[in-house]
Amino acid sequence: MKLIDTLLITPTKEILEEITSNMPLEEVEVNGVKGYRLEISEDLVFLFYPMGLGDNPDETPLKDIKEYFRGVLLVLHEKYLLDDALMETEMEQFLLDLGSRPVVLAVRMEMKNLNYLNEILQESGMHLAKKGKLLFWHPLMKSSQKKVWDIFFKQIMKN
Amino acid sequence: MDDLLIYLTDPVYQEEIENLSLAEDYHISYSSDLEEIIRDARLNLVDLIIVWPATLENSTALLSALKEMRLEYIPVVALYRDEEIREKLVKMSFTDCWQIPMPRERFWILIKQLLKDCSIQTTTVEGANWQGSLEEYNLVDLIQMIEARGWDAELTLMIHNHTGVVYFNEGKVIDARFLSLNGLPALLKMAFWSQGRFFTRMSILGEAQKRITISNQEILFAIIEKLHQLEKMATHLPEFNEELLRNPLLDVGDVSPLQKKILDLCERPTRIKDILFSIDEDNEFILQEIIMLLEKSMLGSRTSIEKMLQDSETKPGLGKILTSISSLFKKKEVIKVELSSEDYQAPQQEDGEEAQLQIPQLSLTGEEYHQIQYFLEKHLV
Repeated sequence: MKLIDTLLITPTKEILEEITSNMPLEEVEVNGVKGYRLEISEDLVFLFYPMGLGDNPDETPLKDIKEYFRGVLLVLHEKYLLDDALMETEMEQFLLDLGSRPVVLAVRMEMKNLNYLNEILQESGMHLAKKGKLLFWHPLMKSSQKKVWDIFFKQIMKN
Repeated sequence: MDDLLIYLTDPVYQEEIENLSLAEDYHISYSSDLEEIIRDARLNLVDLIIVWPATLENSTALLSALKEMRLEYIPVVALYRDEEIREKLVKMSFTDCWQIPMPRERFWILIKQLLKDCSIQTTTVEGANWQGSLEEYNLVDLIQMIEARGWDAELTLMIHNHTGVVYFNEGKVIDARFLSLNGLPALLKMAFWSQGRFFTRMSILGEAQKRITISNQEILFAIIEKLHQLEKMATHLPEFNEELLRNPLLDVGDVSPLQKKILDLCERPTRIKDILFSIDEDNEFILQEIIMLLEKSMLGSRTSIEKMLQDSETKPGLGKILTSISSLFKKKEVIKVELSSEDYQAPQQEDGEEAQLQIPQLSLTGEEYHQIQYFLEKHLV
């Protein structure tokens, strides 16, 4: 069986629940670290280690094992992206620490703002770095949620 | 007698057009109804359509309708009044754009010249020097036709302002030139040309060298295979006539030299086929790079990029998001953190020896990715 470790960063539990809604995740604990297990098939399992952000940081030993992660999914609400202080400090340092991992930044938009977005951005997101991709989604638009996961796994495959 | 069809978009010009109808050398009909124009173009052998006068709206509507009905081979001339819209009209797929008013004599000279240049009826493949339209005889046809006659000849292909030459010795293709390419790569580069003109000239090799040594049969197979590949790739692309534009919101950053060339061309709206004509690389490579650039959103169709820019100007909140995220990733990219095995060294061991931690780099196979897609379809649709 292939176990692939990934990091799932969200600012709130609500957003975590939204991005994982309808996904058959099981809670697990691996070496004292809490996470979620997603079984794609008998031979392929993903482990997501959640990490809080902003006002809700988690003190976990994750930073010590970050080299294990094959990919990172950051799920943020659009309002966090306008928080310059957050972007300049915590997030930036975190991304630098991650080095060259595939990173997908999934921005949880308000529905009206998602609809404002150009078709290209809605469909393909934006390429931001060699292994970095920006996507926009809303929990009620299932296709956008699916796109986030699809691109996330694709990034892991390609890198 | 040539048939001219006029799309009358402003009744002010009706009288003038009715006077034109007296011209003896042409059969002229006109309508202000676009549907009627398209019906006429479909049912009759129209030699030329004239938009009189052209605006951006009626031009777009007409050209789209012609394209939809697969009538884009009919030459279309735009007559415009205001100089301001000329630049935009020229970028559309008009055969030519002329400003009105103009002297009547000049109008007929231009019409006559244009019809001479465009008419596929002028194709001649008899005698020693052939000329004609690539819509009627493509490269595959012409190679076989010249081979059958066993000629020593130069076959010149022209499309827009691009020219390529194929050299024959006793009917056998021995060389080709296009842009800076020679031999088979040059020949394959021209394989997909389905519009434009050709002519032949008898010659005794001239500057040509025997750069192509495979048989004509093998060349034809290579061309057909190349066309098949391009067709397959085209399914992932917009129409070859669609204009692409670079996304100015994204920095070019780390791109291949070929991608850089494509992006440079697309600083202005550029059709995919013009990209293929302008870059002396294999068409397949170019299309692959275009697909990648489209996937990365560094390129987009002109309409969507222009709309995106308009949106970003009118919605500062979203613009700020994009700028903010872009700068974040850009900074990250500058710092190259290449993880080597040294990164995984564990602390000193008690016995003084260093132990290295081997981390297996698990990757996903294509088959596993398909499993994932199936899984997502099942749970998230």
